[in-house]
Amino acid sequence: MALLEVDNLSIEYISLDSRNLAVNDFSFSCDAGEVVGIVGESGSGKSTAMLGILGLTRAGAHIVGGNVRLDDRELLGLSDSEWGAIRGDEIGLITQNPRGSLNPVLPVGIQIAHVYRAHNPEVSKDQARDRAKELLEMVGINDPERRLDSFPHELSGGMAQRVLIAMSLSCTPKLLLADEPTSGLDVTVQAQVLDDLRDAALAVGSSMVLVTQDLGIVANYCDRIYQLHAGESVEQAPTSEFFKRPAHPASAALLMAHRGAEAERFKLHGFPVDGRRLPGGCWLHQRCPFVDEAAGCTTNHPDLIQVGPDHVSRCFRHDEVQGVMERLLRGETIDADAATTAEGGGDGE
Amino acid sequence: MSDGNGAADTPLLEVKSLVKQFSIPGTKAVVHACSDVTLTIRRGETLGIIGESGSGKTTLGRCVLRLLEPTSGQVLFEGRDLTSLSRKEMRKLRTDVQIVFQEPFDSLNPQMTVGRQIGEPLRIHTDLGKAARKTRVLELLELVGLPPSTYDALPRQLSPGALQRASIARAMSTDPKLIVLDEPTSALAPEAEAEVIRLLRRIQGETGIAYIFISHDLSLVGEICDSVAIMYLSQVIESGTRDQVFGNPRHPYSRALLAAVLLPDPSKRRDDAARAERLEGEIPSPIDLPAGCYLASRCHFVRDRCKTEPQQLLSAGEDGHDARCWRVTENDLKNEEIERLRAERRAQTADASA
Amino acid sequence: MAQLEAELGDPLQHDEELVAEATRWAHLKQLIRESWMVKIGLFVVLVALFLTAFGPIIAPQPLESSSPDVLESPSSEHWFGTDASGFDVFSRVIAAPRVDVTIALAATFLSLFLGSFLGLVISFFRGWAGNLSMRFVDVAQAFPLFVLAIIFVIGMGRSTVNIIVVIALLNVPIFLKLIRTEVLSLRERVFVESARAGGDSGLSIALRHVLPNALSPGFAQASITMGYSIIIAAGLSFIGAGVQPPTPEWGSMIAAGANGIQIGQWWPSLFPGIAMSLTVFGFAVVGETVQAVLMRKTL
Repeated sequence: MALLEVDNLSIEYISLDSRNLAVNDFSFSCDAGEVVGIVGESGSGKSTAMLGILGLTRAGAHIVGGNVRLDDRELLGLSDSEWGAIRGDEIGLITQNPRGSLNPVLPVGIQIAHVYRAHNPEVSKDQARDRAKELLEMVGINDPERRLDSFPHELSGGMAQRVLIAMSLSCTPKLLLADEPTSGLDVTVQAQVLDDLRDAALAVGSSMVLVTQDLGIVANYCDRIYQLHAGESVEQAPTSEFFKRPAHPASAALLMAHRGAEAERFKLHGFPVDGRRLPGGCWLHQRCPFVDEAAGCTTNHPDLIQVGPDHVSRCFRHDEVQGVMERLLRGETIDADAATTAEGGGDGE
Repeated sequence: MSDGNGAADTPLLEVKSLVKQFSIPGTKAVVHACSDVTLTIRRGETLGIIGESGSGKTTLGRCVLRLLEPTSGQVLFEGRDLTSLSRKEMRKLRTDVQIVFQEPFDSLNPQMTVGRQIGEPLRIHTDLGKAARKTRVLELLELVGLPPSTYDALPRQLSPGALQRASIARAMSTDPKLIVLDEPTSALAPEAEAEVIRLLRRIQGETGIAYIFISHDLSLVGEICDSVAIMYLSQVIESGTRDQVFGNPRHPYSRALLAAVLLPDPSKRRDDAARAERLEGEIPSPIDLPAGCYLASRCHFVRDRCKTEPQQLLSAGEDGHDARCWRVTENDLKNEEIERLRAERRAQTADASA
Repeated sequence: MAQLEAELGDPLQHDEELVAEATRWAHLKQLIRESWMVKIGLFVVLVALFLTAFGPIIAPQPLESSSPDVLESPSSEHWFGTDASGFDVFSRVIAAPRVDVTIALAATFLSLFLGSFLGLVISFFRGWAGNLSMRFVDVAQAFPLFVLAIIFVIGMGRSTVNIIVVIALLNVPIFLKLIRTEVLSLRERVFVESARAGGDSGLSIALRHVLPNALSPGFAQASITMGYSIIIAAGLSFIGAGVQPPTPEWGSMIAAGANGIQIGQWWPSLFPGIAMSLTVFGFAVVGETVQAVLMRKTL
């Protein structure tokens, strides 16, 4: 049984004149000690899904279906006070924009102590301060004693992010949710922060769900990957499988994006699908270089199909995709005819 | 491609000892954005300027165009010192040197049609009438791969990738010899980024234009630049050809930077060796620059003299490859130190998991 | 070229565009649909504008020739009754907008134009001159509006043009400051820097790029200023410093009938009073609605 099990989570935005299914029947799991990566283009619903795990939604959004189980305990539908005990204590959250998430008028030591004492009321102020110092050291901040009294604006981006990480780890949560934790940080700082995050999570025993668009991060820190498109999961695989034998055109596009000539052939053309106006058939078919009417792409919506051990893909043509990708990623070059892509493919537009 | 009047040997652009400081109002303190920067770009070449935040790379880009006035130093374009030109003369030179900025949406006036904006430099610098300008703009749209209907579109109707292509079209309108690209793809999704890079390469192939490519993305710079300069805290700390700098980085900062790159390949995960190169601590303030080497507080190879002696660019072995570190010539010592650091790191990790 | 186009995909976001446009209109329509106040305000403004154009023409009774039917209460012949000079109140009430609204419109647009231009010039260029000028503006704004208006008009003569100019001048600081706020942030934007990099000169950039983007708040404010201008114009006339009788004008009508209220002759003052209040209200509501829609969309 996995630590975290999310089944068929669906979150909808309801506005003036439309309903937008931001997260569609998304299922995934995270085992104890694992780092799971969720990737997808912007607008694919990854951040929304992550907040949904915590029972949180942005204005106008509602969770309309699914289960979220932590250690076999159902989370959706809990009362506010029950949620209060879970958020921060059993599940920690790290978001982008660290300085925006910190209270500008309180020293960071106090903020960390607050979180700790909120879930451990029997702890004294001094004990909480010690814990905060311990945490700052764990996340790689030099001179933690002095930094306890720093205000958020006195910290650099990297340090502020480390403070957030320290806060999220303060109650030794079972699970950490990190949404693009290093976006906006410099290259060297990013590597440092991620290393420290992973070390600290290991030290504390937390599993992690990491949401990002950066394949570098995913390749270096994640054990398993879920790829999202238009709010639904379209591929799921262990990391090495994902990078060697991706089985979905969206993954192929992502992996090929930096490859020069190849990128042209495998990219998704047009624009991200509008959640309010989903096409019939496969939701990606209008943009897909592998689209093929004969395979049913334009008429049927594919289910998740098993393509390997622990590897599923939501694509009728997964065999072709995997075949082409495997060879390309191994370093072979393939000429246009051999790759059954849009040139032959069909009337995608 | 190059005009055959014997200028083929003169570098297209030379930056000599450029200094840019910003004074902080109300105090005597000064922010050092660029300190003693010297660079050379040849015709048709792509020079990459790499740096993280606070390195001064953006300021450098703007000083080259005199969008910011350099505090001192020279910027020689085809032999002429830009810093000494009058406003009128500088204006004429703007047909030869152009810039593309980072933000796709903000680079264009939200209320003006894209076509009109691409034609603005033509309106300013040429006598072409409206119809002639429109023809030229349509040609430019074709060059960058945008449909003619873009002419009448407003910026908000275009995707970020298309907006950057429009900005490139505008920069190309006066047939410049050099374009400064300030993080042109940082705000784009990977697919759009790849398209813009392809476009830039194609234009360079067709016109022989030179680029100054400012970026923090090492893989990108490695892909398209012929020569590279790495900046840290207002100084150029290493420069040379792409192969020299990326293949054999000599400065500790360059090494740390390259080691910090996360490759999208699980078989090439950041290993102990890479982690050994990481810099500790935080970047010093650009107002209160340290005496001696600016990296001293964070460098693993630091010695006493690093903290007091300002460092100069020294030859790192090969012709044209320079690094700002006195230890650059001491190859053996460096390798030994790296081994020592790796061993230390391995021991640390072993302790942690014990 | 077609192949290149196909390769690179259609960069125009048709859906995005329609959604963006639709949102602003949809928002406006929604506001109109949902709020009674907005509906009324809009209706009142349209009626006022209609009357400005056609009021004196459709007025049933002569406007400026007196009749012996003095101070008759409202009846089927005189819907709003007659005033102390025998004028038909209804006719004069619906003819008055031509004076009040015209003055307000002219004054508002004059101050919008002047205030925007001054705001642009003071704020776009850097240096101490801008700050110094703003201190003058602050001082000007510190004076009580209405008192200044009275002084100016009495000093400069009571012609309609003078009244318009005075009201315009008094409203300039508001527009100046609104535009200034926009210009101060706009001048730091990248597209302004791009224009400089392209070789464009300061004034050209200010007029071509900055000004069109800076006017939104000004337009939103304009309708609200309309309301204030009507009040000032009417107010001036009320105390006898504005438009001269017998020109039909709400303020002077109210003034003329003021004494009569105590002895039960309520209609000469009340009807112009209601008409004026409604009109000002209408313009204020429309102004706030435009603000709500435009401001939401500020990039």
